[in-house]
Order: sequence, then C-alpha cells, then structure tokens
Amino acid sequence: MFGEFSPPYTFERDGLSLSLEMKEGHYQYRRDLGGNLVEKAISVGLSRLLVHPVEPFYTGPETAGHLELEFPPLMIEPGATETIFLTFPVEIGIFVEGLRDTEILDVFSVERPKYSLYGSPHRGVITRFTRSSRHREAPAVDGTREGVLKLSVRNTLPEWARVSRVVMDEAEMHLYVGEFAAMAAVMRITGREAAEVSGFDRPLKGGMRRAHDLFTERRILRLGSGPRFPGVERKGYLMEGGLS
Amino acid sequence: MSLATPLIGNLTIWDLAVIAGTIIAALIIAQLVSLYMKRAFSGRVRGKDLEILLKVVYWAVLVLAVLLIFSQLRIDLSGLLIAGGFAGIVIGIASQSVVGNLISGIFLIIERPVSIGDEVRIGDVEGYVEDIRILSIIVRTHQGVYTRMPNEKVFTSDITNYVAHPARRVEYSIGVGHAEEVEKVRGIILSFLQSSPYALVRPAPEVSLLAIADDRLILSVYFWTPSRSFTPARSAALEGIQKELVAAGIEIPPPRRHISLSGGEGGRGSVSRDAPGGRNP
Repeated sequence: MFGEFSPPYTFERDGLSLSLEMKEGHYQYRRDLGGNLVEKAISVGLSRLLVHPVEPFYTGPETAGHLELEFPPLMIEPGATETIFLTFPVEIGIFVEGLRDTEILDVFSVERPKYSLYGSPHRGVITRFTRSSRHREAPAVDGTREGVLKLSVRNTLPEWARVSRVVMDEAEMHLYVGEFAAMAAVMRITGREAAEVSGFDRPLKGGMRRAHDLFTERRILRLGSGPRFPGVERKGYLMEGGLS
Repeated sequence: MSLATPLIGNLTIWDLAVIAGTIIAALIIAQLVSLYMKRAFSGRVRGKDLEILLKVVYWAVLVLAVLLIFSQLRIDLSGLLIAGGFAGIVIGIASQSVVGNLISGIFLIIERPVSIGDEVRIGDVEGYVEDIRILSIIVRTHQGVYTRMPNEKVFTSDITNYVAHPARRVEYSIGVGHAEEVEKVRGIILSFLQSSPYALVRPAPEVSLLAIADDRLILSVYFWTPSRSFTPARSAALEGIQKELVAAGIEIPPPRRHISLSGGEGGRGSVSRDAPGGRNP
C-alpha cells in the first residue's frame, strides 16, 4: 500500500478504498473507510501522491504525545540485553507532492484508537495505548493497521528486572517504510520502576526508507520544542511510572 | 595625592570612586535583574507587559543607586523624603487598585494556577483562559462572552483548573430494573467502555452496585478520560451506554409515581409515594 504514486491511483482492501483521479479539470481525492467518506479536489500542480505511515497521534478524540505498548511479561537477568519485536498501531498519511513542496492531504486510522494514562492522574501522561504480542522475530503484520517495533531491552541493574510495557515519546519514533512501517528503539532499565526509552533512526531491514516526517513538520509549524533533526541527539523518554 | 584629598568642592577622590562604582554596579545589577526576569517570565507574560515590567524594575534599581549616591554626596534627603512620602501616599491611594493588580499579577505569574487555553472556573466565571496580562486575566466563557478579570480579584478568588491534571474521572449513576442481573449489566457497560476511545485503559473503568432502591437497582459507573476531552467524553459515553443497554433489552425504568385511592364514593385520592427520580446525570 505504501509508496509514491503518480495519478491515477486506486487502492482497495477490507472496507478501505482510496482513489485519486482526474475529474473535470482537477484531481479528485476520495477516501472511503467503512462508509465514512472524504473527498477533496486538488489543483493540477500535483506531481505525485505519497502514501506513508505516520505516528498514531493524529486521529481520534484525544491528541496524545506518547505511545504505550503492553506485552506479555519479560524477565531479564542483570546486565543482559534482550531484543524483542512488538507491534504498534499506525495511521496512514496521504501527502501531495507539488512543484514546490509536499503537503498533507489526509490522515486516517483503520483501527479505533484507545488511550491510557501512564503515571499518576496528576503527573502522568496520556498515551496512545495498544496491547501487543511479544515476538522473537519481526512478525507479519497488516501494514494498514500495524507496524513493527524492534526493541532492545537492556537491564543495567544488578538484579533481575520484569518488563511488560514500554512508553515512547513521539519525538523518539523514527518511522521507516517498506511493505509495512517499522522502527527501532532501546529501553535501558535504570531502576526497579524506571527506564529510558530512545528511538534509533535506522531501518529495520534492507529496502526500507524513511517515512515522510509529519511530526517535524507539525512541530516546526507549531514552533514547539523538540523537533527531530538529523544528527541531533535527543534524550530519551524517562519511564518513571513503572515497567509492568 | 591621597584618597582623602578633596577634588571637586568637598568631594574626595574616594567619594568619586564610590559614586562611579555605585553607578557601574547599579547598571550591572539592573541588567542582570532584567535578564533574569526576562528568562523567568518569558512565555508566561505577554511581550508588551514584560517589556513594561522590565523597564519598571530596571529604573527602580537605578533610582535606588541615585539615592545611595545622594547619601555619598552628603545631600540631606529629609526634605525630599517628606515630600516624597506625601506624594507616595497620594499616588498610593490613587493607584491602589493598579498596584494591587500588578502585585497580584506577579504572584499569579509565579504561582501559575492557570495557563492560556486552560478550562477554568475563577469565582463564578467559567470558561477558557484567553490571555494572562500583567493587570488582568481574560476569560472566554462557555457562552463565548469576553470577560476581563482584574488580577487582584483572581488572586483572592477560588480557582478551579479543570485541565491542570492530565486525566479526570467521569461518574454516572445508572438505574436498571430489579429483574436485571447486575453481572450482565456490568459486562455490557464495561465492554462498551473498553472499546470507547474516551475511556482510558488505566485507571480501569469500574461498575458497581451502589444501591437497591424501591423501583430500581442503581449502579455507579466510573471511568477516567483525558481532561481536555471531559465534556464530549461524558455525553458520548453516556449516550453509548444507554444505546447498548437498550439494545441488550435491559430495562431502564422511568420515574414512577404510585397513587392509591382510598374510600368508596367521595373517597379522596392521595399520592402515597414518589419514586426516586431515576435521573442519570
């Protein structure tokens, strides 16, 4: 589904239908998701259509800034590093590439979003929540719904650690795209109830390329803090509300 | 030539050095205080207000330095102080509320009980904070009315910030017929909440039997929702729960009134009991 396409473009799967075609002198974009219809007209300056996965924070009633994945508990011995694969929800971004720049046309989610609170009600953060199975290798996923997270869990403590969830800041999510979305992160367990989670800006496997970065665009437009820039190292998200 | 040698009139070299030192120190302190305040209040106070505040502080430091220099010059300030005292009283009385608002504004900026965009209740005014100024706070009420509240009033009022914490609890009391199984009703409501985007996964939603009233079972329903989604969540979830219960054939009894008629012909009818409201918030 993902990639860069020259019009006309059509895609259909499981109640999702996308199309871009010339109609009455301009391009007509049409998205039908389970009867929920979106139609937009685009001037003829368009040269390509980009269909990329984006972080799961742009649709739904609540705008969260963190992703929380809950998985079956994992026990890690002192000093060990364990690599696991989890699945996370993705949203689909449709971008139009014009002569000068690229603009977001539509963002939608096939899955119904679910949210949670990580930490206490007075100091915690609202997270986009999902439960995931834990895998030893990258699992096969439906790319319209899920992506794959490669997570290296390092136990820096002198005692065993139990982990069953990971929370990532949206700034740490470096999405790569191939047939599905993927990202990598490392979780350093620094205390019984604390860990630091940082994203890696590298593809999961060969042939994947960087997904269009809606996050940085949004942050720059908002003049907010913490945009992602190549070569600029960010401090990871500090999980202080527990690891399981 | 010693430091005590008079150079200009009675002024010695030492006096001049102290005056020069005071001026330089005052300029440095004024700059440092301004810089510190600019950093501390940047983003909390509007640009124009901050500029005025910084100027006031800068010049206050310089005025203090001038008074110190006067004492070094051995100029008798008692007359000036008396005149200044009177002027101060007059100006103080005239600008009492302005100064009160200014000081309250500074304390509000430091304490930060509200931020721009927050949904708040200040005294009896409820709405969204549109602007925080050095003398006042602007609130847009839910009816869209512009309300300017002097900082002094804000400072002394009860302030409720509905979005200061990330999550809030939604609470309902829902009445169902006596014949309904509590377990079944609980399952329907929890299942709905677990799929609703408004109800947070953690803290987990709760449904429990609150009371057995004369004509209904009253269940309390709790779930947490992001604070900024509270209002739509409260109504959307209640609507959804009602639909799910109706679809499952669960009886939601309407309020009932029992009327008993006593005596034969000419007997007087009387209302014997009003059923409890059956109201769901």
